[in-house]
Amino acid sequence: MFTFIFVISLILSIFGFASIFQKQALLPDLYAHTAFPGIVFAYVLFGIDNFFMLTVGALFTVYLFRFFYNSIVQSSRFSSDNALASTISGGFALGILGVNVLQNLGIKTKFDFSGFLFGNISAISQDELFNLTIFALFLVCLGFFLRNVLSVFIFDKEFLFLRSKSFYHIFKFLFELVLILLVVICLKVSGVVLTTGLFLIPVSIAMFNVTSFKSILLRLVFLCGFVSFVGLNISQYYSGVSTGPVLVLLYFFVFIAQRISYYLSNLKMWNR
Amino acid sequence: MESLIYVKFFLVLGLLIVNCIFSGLWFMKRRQAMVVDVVSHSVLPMLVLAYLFVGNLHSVFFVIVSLVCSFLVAVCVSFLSKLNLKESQQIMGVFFSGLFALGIILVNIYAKSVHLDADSVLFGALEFSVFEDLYLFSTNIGPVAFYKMAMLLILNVLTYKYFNPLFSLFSFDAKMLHLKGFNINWIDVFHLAILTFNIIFAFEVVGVVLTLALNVLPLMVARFYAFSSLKLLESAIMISFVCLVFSSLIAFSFSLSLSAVFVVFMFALLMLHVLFFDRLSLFKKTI
Repeated sequence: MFTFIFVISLILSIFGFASIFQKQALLPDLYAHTAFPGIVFAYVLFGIDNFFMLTVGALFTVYLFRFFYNSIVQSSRFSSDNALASTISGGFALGILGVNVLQNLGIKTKFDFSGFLFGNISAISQDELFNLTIFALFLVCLGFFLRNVLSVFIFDKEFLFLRSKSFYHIFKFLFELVLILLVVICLKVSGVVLTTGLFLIPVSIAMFNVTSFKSILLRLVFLCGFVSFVGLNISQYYSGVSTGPVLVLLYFFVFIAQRISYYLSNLKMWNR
Repeated sequence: MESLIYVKFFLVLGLLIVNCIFSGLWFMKRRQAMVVDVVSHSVLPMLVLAYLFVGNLHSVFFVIVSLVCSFLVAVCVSFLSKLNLKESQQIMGVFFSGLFALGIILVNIYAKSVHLDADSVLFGALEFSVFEDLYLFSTNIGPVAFYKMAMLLILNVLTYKYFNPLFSLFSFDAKMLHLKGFNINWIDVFHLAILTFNIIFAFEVVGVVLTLALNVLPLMVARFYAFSSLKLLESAIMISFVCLVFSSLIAFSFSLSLSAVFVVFMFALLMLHVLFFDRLSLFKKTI
């Protein structure tokens, strides 16, 4: 469990880093909210708690709502903020409607949508946990081998586009595909709303006052390891509290502590 | 009897939508719709703290304490996100998810037994709001939520009437307002106060995410037909009313959540406008 949470937190942070640098920090929030109706409809269609099928459903709705988001932005009447707000709420409302239909049809199952809304890592079976950990480790290895291309993609998209258009489009597609897969995994850990927290907070802490990518990575490894260990222990100790919110809250406290200590040290320096 | 309940649902949600249109107007004009999302997520821990402090969800003190606490949090988050404009989205994301996580944990520990449970936080509790009646001299005079919304509407209309020119100028050219000697930070705080008032009341009826939808979607659809504040408000209210009638018919016929049906309906309408409105007007001009 610890290995899974640690590796997933690390990968999510790296993807969060990419979305911050591309000035689309709230994009994971859009993906999380619009993946929810896909998961509900996949369940209606296939009727089984199969991760692969749920991911296919999530992929479909995320791409559909991404198209809607792009169309709203391109219509030039609205800012990206307004487009994001409308797409997030529209997607989530569709998910709620899906849950409503399921309830009305009287489908009684073990499947728990609240696990996707608020996160419930204890509901993941041991086999699934093992598979997801292997997948996460595979992503880490892939990221390590493609680190040069990845850094060019994050920091200078236009350069990659000018070098090779087809490679750029393939890489962009794969990058978004992995991002959506990670969002679906993250939904199981922290739920729809808190997914953004796992993407953004650790990397915001690690990026503070550091410019080198290696230092950021090193900070992330320590931070994710520490918070995953403490968070898991807390959620196991208090039975009513699920792991996802605890992890996000711990990261948030570290973030606040870091910023306060920085401003206090600056204040002391000014007083001297 | 059943039709009376439907009328109650319709009236409460109708008034709520009008209130949300008023509060969302300024943020949409300022192109900062996500502030609504951030505030609606950040107020959750404050609601739980207010409940812990007062011990009753139906008390006037609960409303006052939750309003004050939520307003303070909204101001703090908005101020912090403005400290560094380059990373404002990032700061917003950090704060709303952190505070929402705190809220969820507090709800799970302290407020599970009342209808402030985790599900009603996300989905709202329109059913509960409609069935809580107000009694005057032991006579039932309708749902409490209706009167809450009506009072809020009066506040919104008065604010619009007296502050519209100032707010419009602030939305389009805050620097000029600053040069004229106005303190723009106070105007921003006033905006946030109005937004927080509306969000607190919308929160218990439709939940976190749909509050955002009601603040944004009707105005976005209306934007295709109007530009000035008054026209925008009129068109948004008209469009919402028509949509609410159709959504009510669908929701009551198939026993679905009225707020969710309304939001999906409005989103579908927005997408139809985004995809076809310009092409259609171009086609008309050509003819």
